[in-house]
Amino acid sequence: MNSNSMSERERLMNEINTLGFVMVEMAQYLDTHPFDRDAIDYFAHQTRKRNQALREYAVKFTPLTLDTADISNKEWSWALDPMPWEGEC
Amino acid sequence: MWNYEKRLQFPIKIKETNANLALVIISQFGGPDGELAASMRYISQRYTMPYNEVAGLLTDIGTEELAHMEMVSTIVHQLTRNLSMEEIERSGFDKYYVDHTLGLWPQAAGGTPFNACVFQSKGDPITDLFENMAAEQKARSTYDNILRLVHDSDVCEPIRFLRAREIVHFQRFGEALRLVQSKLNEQNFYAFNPAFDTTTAKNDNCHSN
Repeated sequence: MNSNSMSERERLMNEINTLGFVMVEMAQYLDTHPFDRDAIDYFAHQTRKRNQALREYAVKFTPLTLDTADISNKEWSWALDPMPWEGEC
Repeated sequence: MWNYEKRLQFPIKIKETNANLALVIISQFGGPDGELAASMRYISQRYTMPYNEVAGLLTDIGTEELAHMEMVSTIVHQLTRNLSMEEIERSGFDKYYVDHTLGLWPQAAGGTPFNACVFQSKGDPITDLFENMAAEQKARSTYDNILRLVHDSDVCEPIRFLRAREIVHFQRFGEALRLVQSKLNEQNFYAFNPAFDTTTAKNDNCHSN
C-alpha cells in the first residue's frame, strides 16, 4: 500500500521539479560547453519529457505556465489556484 | 524577456513561525550578498559581455537567482505569517513591522535597504567574472552563517539547497573566466578590454602606450 501512497499530483509535480532542475543545470553547463553533442541530446530529451508533464499537469490539476494555461476551464485558474509560496501545510 | 513558472525551484513548507530567524534570513533577499543582488549583477553585466557563451551563462544564472529570491522570500513569509502581536513585540520584529507590517521588503538583516552599491557591473569581462565568483562565495558564506542559526529542518533543507547552488555557480563562472582568457592574448590578458577597445590599434591616450 505504501508504494502507491504518493498521489498522481505529487508524482507529476516531482517529475516537473526534477526535470526542471536538470534543464537549468544542463543549460548552464552547455553555456560554457556549447559543442557537447551528448549534453545537447540529453537536454532535448529531458525537456521534451518535462513539457509533456507540464501539459498533463495543466489539464489534470492546474497550469504552471502561461503557455499551458490554454485549458478549457470556466475560470482563470492561473490566478485563482494557490500560489507556490503558500506551501499549503 | 522572462516567463514565470508557478512553482518553487525547491519545496518549502514551514510549520512554525520564527520572527527572529526571518529577520536574519531576509539578508539573502535584500542584503549585500543576497539573491536579488546576484540576479541584478549578472543580468546587468550581460549586455556588454562580448562572448555569447558567457552572456548566455549570465542570463541563465541571473534568471535562476530570481527563483532563489522567490525561495528566500517564501521562507521569510512562512516564518512570519500569522504572527501574534505578542510575538511581534517580544521578538524585536516590531521595528520591521511598523514600516512593513508582514510585507516582504528587500533589506539586509541589519536594516540597510537593498541598493545597487552592493554589486558592480564593470563592463570588463575579467573584472565582472571575478566579481561574480566573489559574489557566489559571499552568498555561500552567508548561507553557512544562516545554517548555524537554524534549528528547524523545514528551514534547513531549502537553505542547504540554495547553498549548494552557489557552489555550482562559482564553478560555472570559473569556467567562463577560463573561456574568456582563452580568447585573449596569453602573454597579457589585460592588454585591452574586449568589451570596449574595439581594435588593438594604438590611440594617443596613455592606456594604449
